[in-house]
Amino acid sequence: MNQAQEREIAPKRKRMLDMIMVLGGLKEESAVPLSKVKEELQHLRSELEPIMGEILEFPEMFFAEFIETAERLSLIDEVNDQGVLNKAISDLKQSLDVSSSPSLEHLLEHLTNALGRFEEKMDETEVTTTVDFSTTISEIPEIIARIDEGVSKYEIDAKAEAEAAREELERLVNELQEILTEHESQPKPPLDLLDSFQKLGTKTRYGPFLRIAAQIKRGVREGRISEGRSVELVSKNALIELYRGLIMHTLNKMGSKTTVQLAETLDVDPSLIQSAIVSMLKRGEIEMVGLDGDAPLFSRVLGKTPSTTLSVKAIIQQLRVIRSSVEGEALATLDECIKKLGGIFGRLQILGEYDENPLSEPVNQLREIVNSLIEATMTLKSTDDAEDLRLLVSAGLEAFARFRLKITLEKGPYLVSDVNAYGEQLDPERYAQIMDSYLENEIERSTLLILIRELGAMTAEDLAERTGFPQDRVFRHLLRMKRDELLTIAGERHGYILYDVPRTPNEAEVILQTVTSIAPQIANARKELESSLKDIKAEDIGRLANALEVFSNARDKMSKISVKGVSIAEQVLKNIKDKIHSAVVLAYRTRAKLPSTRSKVTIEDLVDVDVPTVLDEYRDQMGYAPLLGFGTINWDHSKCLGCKSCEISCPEDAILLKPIIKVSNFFELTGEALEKLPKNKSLFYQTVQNLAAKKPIEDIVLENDIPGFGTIEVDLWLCVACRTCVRRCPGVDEGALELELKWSLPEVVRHLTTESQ
Amino acid sequence: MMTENKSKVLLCTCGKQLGLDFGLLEDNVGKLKLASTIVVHDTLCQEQGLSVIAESLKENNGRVVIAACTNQKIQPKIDEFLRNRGLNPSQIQYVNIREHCAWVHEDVNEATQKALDMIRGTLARSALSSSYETARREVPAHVTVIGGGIAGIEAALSLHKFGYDVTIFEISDDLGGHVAKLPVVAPTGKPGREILSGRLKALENSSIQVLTNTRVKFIEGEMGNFTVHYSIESDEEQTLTTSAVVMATGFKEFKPTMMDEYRYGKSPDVITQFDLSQMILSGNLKRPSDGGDVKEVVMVQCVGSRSEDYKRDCSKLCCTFAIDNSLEILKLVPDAKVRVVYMDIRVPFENEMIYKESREKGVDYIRGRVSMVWEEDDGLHVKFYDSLLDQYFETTPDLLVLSTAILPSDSLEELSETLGYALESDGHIKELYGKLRRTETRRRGVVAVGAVTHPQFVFESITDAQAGALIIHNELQGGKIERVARGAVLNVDDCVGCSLCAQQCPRGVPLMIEQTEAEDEEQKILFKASIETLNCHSCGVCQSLCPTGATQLCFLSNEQLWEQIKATLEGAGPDYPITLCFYCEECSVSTMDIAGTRHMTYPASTRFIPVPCAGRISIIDILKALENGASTVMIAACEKDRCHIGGTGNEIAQVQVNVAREILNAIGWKGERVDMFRMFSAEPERFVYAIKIMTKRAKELGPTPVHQGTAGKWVEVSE
Amino acid sequence: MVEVNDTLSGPVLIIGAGVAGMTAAIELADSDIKTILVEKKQTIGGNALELYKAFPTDDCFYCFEGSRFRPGIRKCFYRSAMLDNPNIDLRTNTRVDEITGNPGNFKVKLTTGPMYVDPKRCIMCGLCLKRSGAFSLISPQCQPQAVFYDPSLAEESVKEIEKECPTKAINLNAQSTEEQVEVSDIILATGYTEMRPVNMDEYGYGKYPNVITQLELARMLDPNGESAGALIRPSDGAPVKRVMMVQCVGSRDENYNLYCSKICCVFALKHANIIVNERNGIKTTVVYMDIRTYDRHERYYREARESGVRFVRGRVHLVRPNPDGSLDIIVYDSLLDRYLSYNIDLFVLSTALEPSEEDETLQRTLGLNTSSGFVAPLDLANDSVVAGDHVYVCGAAMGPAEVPESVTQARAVVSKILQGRQ
Repeated sequence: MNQAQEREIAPKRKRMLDMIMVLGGLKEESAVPLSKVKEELQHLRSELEPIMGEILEFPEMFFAEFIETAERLSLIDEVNDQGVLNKAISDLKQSLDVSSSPSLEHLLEHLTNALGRFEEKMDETEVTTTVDFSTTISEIPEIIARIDEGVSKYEIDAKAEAEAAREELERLVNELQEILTEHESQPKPPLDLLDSFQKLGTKTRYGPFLRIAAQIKRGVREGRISEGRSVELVSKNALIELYRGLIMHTLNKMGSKTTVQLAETLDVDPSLIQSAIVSMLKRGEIEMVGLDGDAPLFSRVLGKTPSTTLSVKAIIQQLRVIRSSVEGEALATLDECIKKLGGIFGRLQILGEYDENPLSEPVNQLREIVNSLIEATMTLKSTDDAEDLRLLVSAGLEAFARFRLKITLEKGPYLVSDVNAYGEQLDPERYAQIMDSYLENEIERSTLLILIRELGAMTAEDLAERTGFPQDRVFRHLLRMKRDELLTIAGERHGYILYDVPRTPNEAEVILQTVTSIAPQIANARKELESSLKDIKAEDIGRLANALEVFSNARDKMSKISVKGVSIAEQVLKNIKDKIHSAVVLAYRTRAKLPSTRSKVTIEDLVDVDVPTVLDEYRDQMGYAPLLGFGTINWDHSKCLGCKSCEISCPEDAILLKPIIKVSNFFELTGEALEKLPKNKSLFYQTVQNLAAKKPIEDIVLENDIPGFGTIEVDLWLCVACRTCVRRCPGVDEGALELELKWSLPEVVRHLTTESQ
Repeated sequence: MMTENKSKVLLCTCGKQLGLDFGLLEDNVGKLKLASTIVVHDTLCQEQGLSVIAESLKENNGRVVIAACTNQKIQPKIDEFLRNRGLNPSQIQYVNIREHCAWVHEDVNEATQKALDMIRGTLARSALSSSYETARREVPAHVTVIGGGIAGIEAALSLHKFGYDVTIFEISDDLGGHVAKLPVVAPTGKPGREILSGRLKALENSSIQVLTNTRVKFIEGEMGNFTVHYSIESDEEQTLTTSAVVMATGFKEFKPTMMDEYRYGKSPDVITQFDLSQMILSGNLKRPSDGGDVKEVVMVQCVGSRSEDYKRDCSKLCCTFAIDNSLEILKLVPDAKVRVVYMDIRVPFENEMIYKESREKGVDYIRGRVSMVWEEDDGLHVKFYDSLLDQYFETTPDLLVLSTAILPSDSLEELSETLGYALESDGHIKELYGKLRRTETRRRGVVAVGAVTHPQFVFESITDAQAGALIIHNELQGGKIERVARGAVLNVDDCVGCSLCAQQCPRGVPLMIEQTEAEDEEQKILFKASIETLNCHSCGVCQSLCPTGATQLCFLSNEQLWEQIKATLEGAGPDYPITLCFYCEECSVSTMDIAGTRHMTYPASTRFIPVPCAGRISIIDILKALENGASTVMIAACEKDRCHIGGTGNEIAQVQVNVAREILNAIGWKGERVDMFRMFSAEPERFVYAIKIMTKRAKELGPTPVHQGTAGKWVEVSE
Repeated sequence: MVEVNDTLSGPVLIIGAGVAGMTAAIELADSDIKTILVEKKQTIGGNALELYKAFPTDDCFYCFEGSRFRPGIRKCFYRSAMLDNPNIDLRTNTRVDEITGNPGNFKVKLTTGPMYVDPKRCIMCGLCLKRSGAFSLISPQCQPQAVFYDPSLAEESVKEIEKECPTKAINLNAQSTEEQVEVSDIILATGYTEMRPVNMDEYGYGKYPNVITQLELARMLDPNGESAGALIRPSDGAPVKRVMMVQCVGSRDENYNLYCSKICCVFALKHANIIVNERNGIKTTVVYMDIRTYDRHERYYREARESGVRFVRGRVHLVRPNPDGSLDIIVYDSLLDRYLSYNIDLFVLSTALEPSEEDETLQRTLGLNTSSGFVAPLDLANDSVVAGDHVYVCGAAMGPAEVPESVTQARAVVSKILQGRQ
């Protein structure tokens, strides 16, 4: 009764071994024999030759036409974002170092003088701004009033909506009361009570309630939840979830509410509402959006906070910065504006979601004005060497403004009361310590923000170099700001991510960006193509294929570019399209046919895994050495009784007593080994030796098992080295089996490769 | 180590009719070292002969060798005679010089020489023999019955009457099993409830403990000391020690959901016979789909049974069951139309009259098969083929009743791992011996009654249960077991815990007990075997496999057999090549005796050595025989899976012979010198044919390396 | 539930020493209860002795219950030492004439035929067998192991043999004896007898020598039998080429026996398998209405179909002998709805298994119920082996039964008796 069928390797282990195989390149793709490789390459070259010329030319034609149209339509002038300009210039420089191209030089020239014009403008604005400083400030209150009027219109609509939802909510609440009272008088079985809750629950469409109801029902049906337990589950847990659902429903319909207001509308005692609010806060379903008197107002967490609310928030910060460099009468109006805007912002947060369009127009207008004011304040004091100082100061101002706002909004009310929402006691010096570290961080973050806004997308590496902060802290700030939606990712350079202020580049900037980003890629690819086409060698087929692909991607991007509706070199791009595609496909197909040129690991040079060293490394890193489950079981035939106890005791079915008798071993048993063997076993060996007329060589193989005889075979890939067989073996002295902590990777791989063939 | 224990030799001339030279025999035996005195007597098996035997027991502390006719006939008479006189016959050895020598060989000298050699061998065996007594063992007089159907209840009541306290485990929450659900029980015509009522009442006013909806998890131990691990209503596990186990778990009705041609489980009007009997019992025979009343019923026989993929054999009960149900339907709905589609209607003995009665009452029997079953808006449609009329018919019955197969109950498989009974290929419990021991299982003290071994009628299960109770009573003897302690004895210190005996024992007697509770990773897991000699069936398989010789049969130790081989083959050389034949004292000895009684003849160059079972022969014995000069070695054993003692003794011997042949081929010998033949006492020619082959090989293969002196010289040859 | 509660410890009379009777005797003896085993034939074994291979285990029929006295699962008849068992008083060649007395204390008159050879003394030394034909051995497996003397073949040499017999076992002028014994319980184990369909002339049994019954076929197949296992035509001893078997002869038939004899299908197919597989492929056809191989015996039906036995569902219409000894049989095949004609050498009838003839008188004297001639239990629902007060029945006396059923019923009877005496 031997195990005829082959045992499956444990799935996790199989995946691990497959990974080893692929990494080691031991898994062979269908490769062409070496002799045919030359022929393949010739064939590829003959195919590519005719169309190569056109492919190399088309980018140049495109750039030429682009420059011509750009000049005609004065595209460059529309670019008013200095960051984009800087980036474009550096890209062009890069591509020109690689390969010369007249039209690109022409474009570069344009960009540099555009940048020059930009700097002068900065200086002029600086001079001119002092004059209309106070007039621009005076325009602000009027705009703020318009915004204020828009917001109050929103509030009226929200209130009306709330009223409409009120009596619908009342009906829900009464229904719930009815159910509960009726349940008190004569209690219904838990499942029926649950059904009635569910009728209500589905209206609020509150996910957690629906989930818990379904779970209870299934639990009862499958007998996992006993009768008594289900009664308690329904009357307590399900009910709480239902209340939470009702809370969400109210917040959705009637806007943000305080705990007390919620308690009134749902006429339930406030403590229950308070605990519900706390858990919903934890779950991140609701958040505190403001204060009604000193009670926190809660509203539903908006999927996406409306951009106008955000921009109002940004404007307030900028006004704070401007306020520091303004005096006299203008300062008073500015303070007045900041206070009013703060109020508006609070009301906007309470409103949560609203229709942005009517409000966005005045807000944008306000933003322009404030930005120009910021510029003015910057240039006012700018001197060359003080440039950094200026940055630091404004960063500090900005940080301070934002910091104060954060504190007032989030921590404020709790600071007043001794216990905060989570019931912890906030002791003063702990709080002071938080404040210091917070302030310092805020300053650093603002510096980084200003730098990026000024100098365009930057990587953590450049910022660290510029600001002198340690790179990991810079990195953490960038992440934090990204989460606060102050920064966005704008591609990557040399493997580092580029962070950029969320600019809404205008159309011209986008075009310029795409064109200039294509330029260096095309240049490199072109160089690569020219060099490899002379004589194609097997190793560089991979690079050739990649270069061709870069060209085809570039062509696709170019065909999408149109300056003010005018598409560029449309005809050229169209007829090159299928040529370049066929070239790319051809390259990839030949690459696949060639035997992978990567230097392949052969089984011979695999080395045994020395388990102890691996264990030590593991112990240093992780502090403990788990049983790694690797090892080789060695079998000593002279001590084995052939009793199969190992096979029976092995949990992984990894060790087998095969019905193969190694008769030649009988004759290697010396006197001493024979003594140690049990009585009958040694007598058997002696009798065989007495009878033997010749020494046997090959082994005896039988089909079904023989009690008392056999050879041990261990499947390395199944054995988890748990030593049960070693401990169970009743063989001579310590047993016929011992575990050696080495694992022969070659043998395992040989098994897997032979198995896969 | 040659001991000097001499034995007395008694020769019997069987009324001076035996064709042996008794004069020559007497003085040659006299010369033997191990023979103390020799007596020649004419009729040892008659009155005076027996008293001579009784006398000779007094010397050499009971060692006697009786050379007479087959011990199978005279040993019981001698044992009875000596036991009545308080003597212990355990050290008497027998040599059969009649059926095995005188009657089968023409040449008197050869026959006499053969008798002499066999007597010399038996003397050597007797010199090392040790006596054994009847042993007693107190065990709790408690029996566990698993399964509360009719068989379980009847077994419990019978055992209770025998004076045992009984516990019944029932998995569902009330007793009665399937019988309780039967509206009528063939051929009594009474409902199942009525048959059970008397027994259930008797159960109440008896001290039998009944535990309902309890599941037996597993059972350890051996007869006299079983521990049953069970759990009530799936809470924590409890244990109960008991001396014997009665398996009465009954059967399970096959639910043909996978056979979608019958659309069982898909359309509600397709039901099984048991569902129908439930409906009849409850009185509301209505269409399950819409409650309409039943006018037309189609019954299909052999659903799942006699088919290749579910159950190959016939389930025996479903024809009778179907006919009873159809008569009941006619009682409830006189003008109902019942059709039965069958291959063979199988109703034993008196049920044939009920089959006849149902035909007269208008039940239509169609010999054919159902071809299609499908639903339409106006109800169920059935299309069937009638092989006698060679036509297809289609009807829209209200009920389609499937007579489904009887399968073994569920928990048998998992309980068999621990309790040790074997399972048939179709999943029922395998009987110890199909003809005479149908209620016993492979393990002593474990009895299987009722439908758990094969489908049975109600009154058959009742007799099965009573028989099972008797067998348990014979084994436990009311708790005070007293039996001749003739079996394997284990010397615990020699045992290394290799568990070969526990793996291979045909009757699962040895238990492996873990000695050390291994706490840390390093400690050795040490097991020791434990063999209860009174439970052992003395086949000797464990002795042949035990590497340390820890377990030995008390009446035939390893040394005894090796000495007997050595003494029998004394002087065996190439000129008169000897075939040594080990024969088992079950089928082989009877085949040889019958061959003797019929005076069949075969060559005399054979020497016979009796062993309790072929499994007792280990590879060492075979090689020792060749080492001592035998030309060929033959083992005579029982037919395939007919081994009297328990089942696999002959298979293990076959494996030892195969290995011996392979090893001999490898070390320069001829493998054919060793062979094994299967005996069957109704065909004595088998033995004669086997002897002829082996003696022919002994001549043809010529002298063995032992004879030529090249044995053991493998060292020089290989350089 | 008949409450058997007296504590009488008298011996138990067992009528019939077939498989059932012997098992009951051995089990009672093992429980130290004296038994008187009465057998009308010379040797014990009943029908089993002639049946060569037994179903369901396909091993020899001579195998039978081992006992505490002879440990082991089973032992052959010849070595079952029934004669030497202290608790069993074996009376072969004995009939039960009359039973009187009341339950628990029956008085039974037994007449034993002349015991020319005393079975306890005969050591089968072979002296008489060699010297005269009058002495013979019924079967090597016979129990008691003694020689059988047939007075009709007596020659004068018989006198010296009587004198020379080493153990004086022979007594030529033995007379039949009568004896009255007192017993507390009676067990009926009279078994079945195979119906000889003499008066069913459509089959021509008795008229044509090549028409035999299944039991006679079994006798022919038995290597220890007269023909040493070879299939020969009884008419002229020629080897048999083609065999035909007919099922349900005399059973399931209004004018003979209404019941189904249950096991004749099984041993018919067993014989068919032996003929086709072990007697070099003699062509065999079986004519049947329903093949009733219950439970695991379905294996015989499968093997028969696989090894080429042809099955015809229908009835035999006409049997016509040919001058060369073969028979022409016309069979109506109900599936093809046509008549087929076969030319065969041996025509075997699976005849009904009927109760043995003493059953009728015993039932009358003991007032037992009968079911179509067989002994019926008092109340089948409660106890299937209790036929009356202190009267039990087991084995084929209750209706055709397989060997395992008879053995189980015998054990059930012993279990009831022991429970009564606990």
